[in-house]
Amino acid sequence: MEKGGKGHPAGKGKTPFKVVASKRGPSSGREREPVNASPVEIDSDSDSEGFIEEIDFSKSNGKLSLKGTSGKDGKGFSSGKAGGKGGVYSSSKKPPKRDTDVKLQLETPSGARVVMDCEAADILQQIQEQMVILSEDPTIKFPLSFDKAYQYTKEGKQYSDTKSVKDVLESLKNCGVNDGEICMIANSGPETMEEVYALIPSLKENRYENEEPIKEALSNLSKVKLPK
Amino acid sequence: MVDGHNFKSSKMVFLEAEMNSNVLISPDQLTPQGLLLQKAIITRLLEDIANKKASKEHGYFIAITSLKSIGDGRVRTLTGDVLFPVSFSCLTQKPTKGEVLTGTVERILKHGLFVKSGPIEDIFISEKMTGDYKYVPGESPMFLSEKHSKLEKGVSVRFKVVGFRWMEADRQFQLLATLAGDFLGPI
Repeated sequence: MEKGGKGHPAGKGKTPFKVVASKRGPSSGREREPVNASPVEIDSDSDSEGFIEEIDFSKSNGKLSLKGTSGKDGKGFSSGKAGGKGGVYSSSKKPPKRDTDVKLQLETPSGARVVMDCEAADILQQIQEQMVILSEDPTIKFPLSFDKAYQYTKEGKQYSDTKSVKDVLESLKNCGVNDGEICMIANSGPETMEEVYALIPSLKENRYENEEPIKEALSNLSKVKLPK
Repeated sequence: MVDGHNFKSSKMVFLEAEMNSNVLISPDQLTPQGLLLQKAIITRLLEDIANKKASKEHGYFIAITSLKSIGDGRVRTLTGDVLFPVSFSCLTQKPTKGEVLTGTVERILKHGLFVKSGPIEDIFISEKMTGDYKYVPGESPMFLSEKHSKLEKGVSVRFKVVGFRWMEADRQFQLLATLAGDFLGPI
């Protein structure tokens, strides 16, 4: 048994590894250990024992949550904590608040990006234009939702120019507004700051930072807004 | 406070998602001309997506926006079909908690009402979440408010999504909604 061998500091008593080695190599005069014995057994110290880190990928919101078994309890999916009403349906980790206070929670799956209604309108319009040719082929099937989505984006058209909308709102990213919030601002077309904070309460947290830029963005947006 | 005139109800949020799917092509569609093969793969992909309708992760499939790649086919020895891995982008719509949507009343029951909205056919508003409206039984039941405003089959309502869940068996979303709140209720 080797204690505090090469490179190992003569510790307080506990060594990181206890190397139990059978005699290797030629020995002078002494009997050799049987060859089939495992050459090295590493006995891990009790310090490292027991602490197992599990990595839990919470798929729905792409966040990484670490669960340690030594005492700390990681939060998994809590579907149980209901105030009675929305419990079973809850898709968030926190217990649901008062129903009318439910804030907008956008959870984007990985590999996906949020698309503004006006952007979607452009995409669907392009596809619709090709539909005439495509529909001549009976084997080509379109999802049922396509027509509904196309009608909706056409009826709800708010802006004359999608690119301007994108340019105006992209600049808001510099003051902490995330993609989901930008999308909500574009889609709901608010006219006052109060409307913005009422519809997208998560923006209130950074009000000091984002109030002025959002105000400017709204005024720029109004230049491309279509008359009602 | 939000001004009633300006309040716009948005539909579900649009997402553009990168997806991968395996398209199965039967041997009779495999021809020496490469061009027809690609068409067969795309057509099959469109059909698969149309049939699948929606997924838990991405929501309702609206349209395929671009084709990223078609991988090498692998032959399924038993059937002779060839499996092609396809990578593409798809426009989808997913329900969002806290969102305000518009729909039509489908059914009135004592414990609540069922509403339909766009591709979602299963939206339930419990009678506890109807605000001032109370159930009125009868041959054509309805929910009535003190101000004599009616909620009955065919009426358009604006509601807020309180929660939703994916029903694997029916391959669709079931929404839980409320009418209790500013600017919610019949339109």
